[in-house]
Amino acid sequence: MIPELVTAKKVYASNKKKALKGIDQEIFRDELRAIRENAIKNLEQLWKKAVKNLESSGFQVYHARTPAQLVKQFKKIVKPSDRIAKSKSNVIKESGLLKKIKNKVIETDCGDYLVGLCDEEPEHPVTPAIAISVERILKKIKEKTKDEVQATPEAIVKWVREQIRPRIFEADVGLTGANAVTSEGSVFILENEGNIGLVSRIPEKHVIITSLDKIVESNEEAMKTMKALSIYGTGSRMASYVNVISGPSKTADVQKKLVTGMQGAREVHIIILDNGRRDLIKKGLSEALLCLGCGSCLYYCPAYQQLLSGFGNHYIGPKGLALETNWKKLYSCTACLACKENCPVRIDALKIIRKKRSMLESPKNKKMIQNIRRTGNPFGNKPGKPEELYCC
Amino acid sequence: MFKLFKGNTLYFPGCLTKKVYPEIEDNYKKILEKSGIDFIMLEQQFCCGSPPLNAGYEKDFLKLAEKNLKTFEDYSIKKVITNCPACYGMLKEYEKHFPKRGVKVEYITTIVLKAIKKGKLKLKKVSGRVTYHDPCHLGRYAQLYEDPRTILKKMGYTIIEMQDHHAQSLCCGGGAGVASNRKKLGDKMSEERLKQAKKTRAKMLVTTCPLCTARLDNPSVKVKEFSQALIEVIK
Repeated sequence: MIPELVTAKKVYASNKKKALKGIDQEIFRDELRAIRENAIKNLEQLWKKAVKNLESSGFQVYHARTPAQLVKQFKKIVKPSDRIAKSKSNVIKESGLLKKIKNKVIETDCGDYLVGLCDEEPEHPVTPAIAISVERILKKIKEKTKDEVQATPEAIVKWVREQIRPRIFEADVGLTGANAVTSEGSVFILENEGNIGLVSRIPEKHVIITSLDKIVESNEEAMKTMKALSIYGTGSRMASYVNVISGPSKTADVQKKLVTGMQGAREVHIIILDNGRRDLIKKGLSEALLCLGCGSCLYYCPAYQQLLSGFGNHYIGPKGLALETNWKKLYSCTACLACKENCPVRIDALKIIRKKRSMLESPKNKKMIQNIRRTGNPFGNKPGKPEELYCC
Repeated sequence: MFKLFKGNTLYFPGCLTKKVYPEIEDNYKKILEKSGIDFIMLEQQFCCGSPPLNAGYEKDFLKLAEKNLKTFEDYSIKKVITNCPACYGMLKEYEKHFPKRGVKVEYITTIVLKAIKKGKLKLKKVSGRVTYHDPCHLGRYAQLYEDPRTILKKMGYTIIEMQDHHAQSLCCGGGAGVASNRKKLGDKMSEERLKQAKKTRAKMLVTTCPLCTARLDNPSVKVKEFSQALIEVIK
């Protein structure tokens, strides 16, 4: 376990404990589980309703079955010359969009900006720069910009702010993800930095890229989900900002005539990505779609402690396991269920792991399963300690 | 041998204990006898089904469960006692797959603690600082955290908890086929747990799971399976 993660875990655990003070955690988790189960169970019906309500509020809605379709739709909305200000989004990362476009893009999330600066991969869904040391950041700043920055988090953050802020005001397009989309037609985006508020309001166009599993039935439920994401994602009682977007900016102040495009975005586009999610439901892996993406599980996961983003596929942790195509990665998980213990919706990784392993066989299990079939035990009939202890 | 009315109690050691650590099986047999438990054992015992089920072989699991349940019925077994945390969870899960055919399953430390409280099992007093490693299958899977700790305290030990314990306990790195499929990764996880154990400066680490015992065995921290610690202090 790298020292950066040891520190992050300590701070996170103590903050989360404080944030949960006065909350009956088990009741809270029951409620969240019910919200997510209802959303995934009634996915098609809720999306139909959401699209109808989003469109009637002035959103332009697109459905992308694959990342390739998403890129095509994006290119119809955004010109190659448009400058893009982007906030952090795991669905945008999953879609690979940025590799397929030639636009100038500024990462406006501090963590993502630092990850890009240091030529690293994001190592946590909520805290992407979790594994990068102060020394490495300073070295990269000097290498790439010749700026001299003091070795404190405050000085680094101030420097990053100065790099990003002017470019948000120059941008033609604001590109964000979403934490929840409700069937009532609103999009919820949670943040601490204030960049999403700017990115979604300053440029003329706001493009939201999200996925099917972000659906929630009501705005009240979405708010509860934001509270959970705050507590379990960063250990704060509530994040600094919850952006609730229900259409483009508008006014009816002149003669009651509704005119769109006031101080906020004039156009709001939302692309909803499937990319195998309906397939997960068909295959009996809907448990993975209950995930809020808070990353709480990872702090306690023995596999993550060793592998960081190498544990999972697009998504780190149990959700990533459901999308895994490599048997080896399925055997990073010891099914210890520390994840379930720390998950706001108690996602059952065991259910996911059993199902996935039945679909993707490990060649290294041959001996164990042969022994089971021949002798009724995993070690066979030879006495003594076998080389490989396959148990539990 | 058959007590058709009350039914038999079975001691089910689990494959790892039976095949790899027969010493642990012997310890528990002695401990059960001293506790005044009238139990039987099976000549041929099958795997509980946990390794195949967690590796995705559901059909193999169901066959094993069916075989075990039939044996339990043939021998009028009404209660099963096991020392293996994985078997404990798995045997309890049978009812979910075979409704109304499940048996009562008790973990060995529950039996031991009852025997100590009733005065049937008498302990010599020892002392020293020990740390206890919660096996995932006993802790998070079955919420059994306190019995082993209470017994260790009754022996006279002071328990020094590791950084992660009880529901937040850190895995030994061996579970669900990781040790056999990705040994290097599993070993790194074990090292992480041992780092926590060393920090307690306890004179030994005790755990109730035979796989955790095997996985955590190392030259710098003394590791004992529960029965090994208990057998030394029984009068």
